Amino acid sequence: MKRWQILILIFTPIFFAILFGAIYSGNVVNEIPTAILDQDQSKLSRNLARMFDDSERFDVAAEFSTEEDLRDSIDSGRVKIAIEIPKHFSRDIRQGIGSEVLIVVNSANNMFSNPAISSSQEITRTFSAMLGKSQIRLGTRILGNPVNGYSSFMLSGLILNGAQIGLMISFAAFFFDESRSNGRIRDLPWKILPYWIFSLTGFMIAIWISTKLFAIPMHGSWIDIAKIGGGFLYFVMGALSLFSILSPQREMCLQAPMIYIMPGLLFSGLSFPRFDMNSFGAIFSAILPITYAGESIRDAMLMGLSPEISSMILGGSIPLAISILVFWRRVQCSRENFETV
Amino acid sequence: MFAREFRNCLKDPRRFIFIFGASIVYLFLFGMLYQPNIVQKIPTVIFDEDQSKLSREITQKFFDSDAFEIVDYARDESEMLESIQMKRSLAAIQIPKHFARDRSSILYLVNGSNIIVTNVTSSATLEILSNFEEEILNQTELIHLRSRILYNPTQGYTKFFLIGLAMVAFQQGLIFAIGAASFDEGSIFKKIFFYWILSMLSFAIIIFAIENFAEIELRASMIQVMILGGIFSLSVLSFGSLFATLFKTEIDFIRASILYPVPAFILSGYTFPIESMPSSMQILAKFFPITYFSNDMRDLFLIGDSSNFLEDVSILTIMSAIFLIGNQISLRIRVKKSEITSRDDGISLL
Repeated sequence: MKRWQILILIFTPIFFAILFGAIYSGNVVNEIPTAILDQDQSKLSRNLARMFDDSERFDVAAEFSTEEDLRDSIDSGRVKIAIEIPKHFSRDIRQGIGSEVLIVVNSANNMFSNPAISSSQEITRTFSAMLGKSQIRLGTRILGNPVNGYSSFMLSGLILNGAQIGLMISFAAFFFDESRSNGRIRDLPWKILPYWIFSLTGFMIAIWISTKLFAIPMHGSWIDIAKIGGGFLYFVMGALSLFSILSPQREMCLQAPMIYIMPGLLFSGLSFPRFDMNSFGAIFSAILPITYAGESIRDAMLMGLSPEISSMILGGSIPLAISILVFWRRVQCSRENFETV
Repeated sequence: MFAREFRNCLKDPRRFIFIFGASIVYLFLFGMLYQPNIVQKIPTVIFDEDQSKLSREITQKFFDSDAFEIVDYARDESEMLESIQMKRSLAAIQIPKHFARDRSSILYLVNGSNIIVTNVTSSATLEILSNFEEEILNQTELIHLRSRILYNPTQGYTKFFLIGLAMVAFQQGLIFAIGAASFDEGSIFKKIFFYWILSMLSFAIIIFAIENFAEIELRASMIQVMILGGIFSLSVLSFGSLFATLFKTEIDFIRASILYPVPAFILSGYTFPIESMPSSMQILAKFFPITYFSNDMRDLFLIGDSSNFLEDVSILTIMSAIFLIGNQISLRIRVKKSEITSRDDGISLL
């Protein structure tokens, strides 16, 4: 094992933790550029406009006087959200008829639209309550990630992704090289083990960094985190071994697994939930290592839930066993050929 | 010139696969993944302590909603929490005792580890309660919030994500292909030109596939999209070939380039907006060509125009020019080095 391989195994997950931790340090999507069209220009409508302005979620960047200007500002991308308060807003509310506030959202990026709509609903409900309107009160309790932040949501998954990319870079050609250099089967475990140990070390340091530098909560035990990391890396190594032993070219050992490893983050259920996937998505996701580790590690960190790692052990053992078998067969053949010559 | 490059591609068909296959495979994979399009039917537990007519009517509203799927009815609070802890449910609705009499608070509880689930359930809960007040309690809403969601009205994942993912795969395919070609003999500029032609053909196929298979209508003109795609391809190919000069073998180049796509995609602001990143990360994002491409592509498809189009095309043009000049300088350095090496070899032979 070369020094650069050790460095890659340790530092790739750490690099991912620091880079993505820094990217998501804002944690939530706030200060969304917003325009307001207040057609009523009454005290009440200005109060409502101020509530939007005071909210952290919105940054009221412009106020317009016509609907065309408002639409232009959305279409040109200058603002992402437009709030339209109609004429006679104040009068209709005082008369008890009720009024309608329109929120126009540029939803090309869902990251803007989801929080903007939720916050608008909360603001209008609060405003109605302030006007003395009796309503069903709603208590909200968000477990695990109370601020609904992006760091807690994504960082642990991205660290897993960093760890598997580190393994791809340093371990992917291992079986290819060994089978061509007529390595001995009994040496394999001792040669493979250091990859797993260094990779797990990098992964654990990266998780530790995420908790210390980026304040990701750690409600679970570190032993559980090590179990998930260890099982996951074993599964990834098993899968990479199979790609490696079956690759016709050395370069393919790295390139072929990209179609399997890279989509993993999105198929794992970390963002788009598994219960909404169709059968294709569910089957593809079931053969990916990150599916079994992504949600487990997030649940362990945020909710303190205990993991289940037997599927990862099984998932790693099957391809690893096949790879060793192919390796053994290949070495046997090459010895027989050599003896014949 | 083209015949030689074409022969090289036939000898190493991976290059055709990278250029034409990578993005199509991603389109297929993620097109299938995001076919359900929106997040709904979120497993939910109901704990109705009141068991009144009113509380049952509220429960029915949650039952009828597409956002929730009621999978559990808890008899007490511990059962409700257990359902969340065991992940049988991701959300919980608790209707307190004497709710019909006192109108006390309803509790909405959610496993917040997936923010998409939190966003969908919190919005749906607020909407259900507003409608309930209006329909059942006959309370005219003082302020009714009406939303008009432009460009992606269902807030579907396909429109949001698919275009960007196809473009990331397109970019990686170009980098691998030009990287493989860079280790062959011959002029790098001719190679860039050859692969640029192939990339334009591939890009047109991707646009066709997005429109016809993923069924995302292209609202901008094809010329605008091809201009952006053309200049992006040139910048990526020239960047890829320049990057390849740093490595002795193709496998070392592949190892290094594997690290590139995930950080570049996330830094591009395609999902988490650039405006919400700290300024150091915003500066870092400016160095990647995909930052000037992926968001524009989504805007061209969904909105029909992009406010940054001219600026981004100009930046990509400047980037391409810098990378091409970098290739030229690197070529000269290599020629000089090989001259010095051959001169030294000659001296040692003498």
